[in-house]
Amino acid sequence: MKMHHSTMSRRTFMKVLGLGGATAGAATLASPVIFHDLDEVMASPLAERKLPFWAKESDKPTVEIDWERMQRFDGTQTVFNPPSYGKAIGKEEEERLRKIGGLFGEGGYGRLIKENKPGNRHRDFAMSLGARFFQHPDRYAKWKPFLGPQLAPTPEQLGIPKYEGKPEENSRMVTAALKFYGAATVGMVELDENTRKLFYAHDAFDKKEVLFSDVDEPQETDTQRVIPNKANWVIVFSVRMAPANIARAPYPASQATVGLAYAEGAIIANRLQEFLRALGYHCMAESNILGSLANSGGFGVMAGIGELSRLNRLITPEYGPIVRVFKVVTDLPLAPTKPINAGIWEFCRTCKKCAEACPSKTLSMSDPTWEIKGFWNNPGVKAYYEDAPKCLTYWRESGGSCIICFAVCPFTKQDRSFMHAFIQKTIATTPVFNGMFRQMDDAFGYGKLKDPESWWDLDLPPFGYDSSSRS
Amino acid sequence: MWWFLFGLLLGAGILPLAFWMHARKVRTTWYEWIMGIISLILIVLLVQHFVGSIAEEESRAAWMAVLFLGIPAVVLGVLAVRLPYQRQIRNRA
Repeated sequence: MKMHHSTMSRRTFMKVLGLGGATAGAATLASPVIFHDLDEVMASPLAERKLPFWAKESDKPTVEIDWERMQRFDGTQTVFNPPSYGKAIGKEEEERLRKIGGLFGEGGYGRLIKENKPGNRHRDFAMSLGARFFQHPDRYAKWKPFLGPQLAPTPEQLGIPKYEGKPEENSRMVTAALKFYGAATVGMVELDENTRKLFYAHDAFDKKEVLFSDVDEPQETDTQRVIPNKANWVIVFSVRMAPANIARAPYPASQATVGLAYAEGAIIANRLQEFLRALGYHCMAESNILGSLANSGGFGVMAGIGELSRLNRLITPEYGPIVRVFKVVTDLPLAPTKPINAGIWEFCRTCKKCAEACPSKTLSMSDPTWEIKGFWNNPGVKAYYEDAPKCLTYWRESGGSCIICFAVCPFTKQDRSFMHAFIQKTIATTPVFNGMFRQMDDAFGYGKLKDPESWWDLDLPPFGYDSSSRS
Repeated sequence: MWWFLFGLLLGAGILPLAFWMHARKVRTTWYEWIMGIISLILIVLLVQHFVGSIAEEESRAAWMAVLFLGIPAVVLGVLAVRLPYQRQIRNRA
């Protein structure tokens, strides 16, 4: 059974229900402590903290403390500090343990991986090494994101052969690791001469040339980034944004979840790079996560992460448009995932809600066309090309960004009501009802932007979304 | 958890009703049962949608469902109870 984390405080709940005033009276009557109004109740520390019903606050901790006997402690004496550990167990014992590998020694990993016992296999250690990326921030002062942190030990360094698996097994393994690292959905594209066109010829930001070449190792110079021809697979993954924040577009709350998802995507890509490095493979990521290597929407469509839409962005069947899409290139052979059809592209044809709500009138109100809007579009796709400079002008003039189009999209739904999945299933199979569903979406009040002030009263789960559901 | 308790309560409510109807020799037709079941399903869906919509901060969607699901549920529910009741009164008379 799914356990839903409550995403709003009692105060917001009553506000949403339209019963805020009535509760204020009831709370005053029922509470033994005198508060003058509901705001005062909610401002009290009692209201801020949510404990499980079996846990209660007490004046003293359950452990006994004698503050008179306690002094500030020297951090170098903690036993996870290697010299302190040696001091505790003695030099001889420390040397003996170092030789057999120790808890964190690379020799220890190599020995255990060679034994290949369940739970201690090569992929298990690689997954753990990937997760440890940035565990010690001081070790990552400078690295090239394209090549990766390169701190995880390679099989060569551990004296073991590189990991070998069937493409299907590899895809499953990468998907499992990526989801653990924080990705929402994962897809794979096998590159050919067509899909290679989805890579940018030049980096959007530092203008470095992106090349494929018959080299063994990826390279980065001051002017070029070279991808080996053997790196023939692209891993595409999405990272979720918080629905409650997106609903507060175009305010900073919405910009915050965009920024957080971009940052998280970059870190997840680095984790994956370390994971694949530990398995003996190369993994090249974007030097700037705003899209410096390849077209996110293009690879998202080809990997079946979602469908292209009137937003001229990806809409996923799971989370609608409120994800960020990332991609890395690797030489680990993978089984590709196919593109999908969830009725989204067809729905966009009749809906137009995003284009109507777009404050800068950037989005297309027309049917899909081969005709591009300007030099900023890459031709070859029959799409809803957007007048992108208008969007950025609105950002500049409003002093922030926007994302209203994502907020109003009928696919931007959580899964707390049964109705959403029911309607999405109908959209996927019976497009004749698309117009009616758009009308219903308006009638039910979906897509109305929320009060940004109320965000601070929400009790959101980590990162602002419930990772066990679409909420 | 809450749905499990909801199911238990529903079952605990329906069983005594069935016993009561049997004891009072209340006769029902197949379409009255169907109306009652549909009414019950609509009420369950309404509760789920209402609570879910409030959690989604979509109060208008919550109240709209009262209109679209709640009214048909009440109409069918009233018919499912009223028709056998009236028939029994007629039979007694």
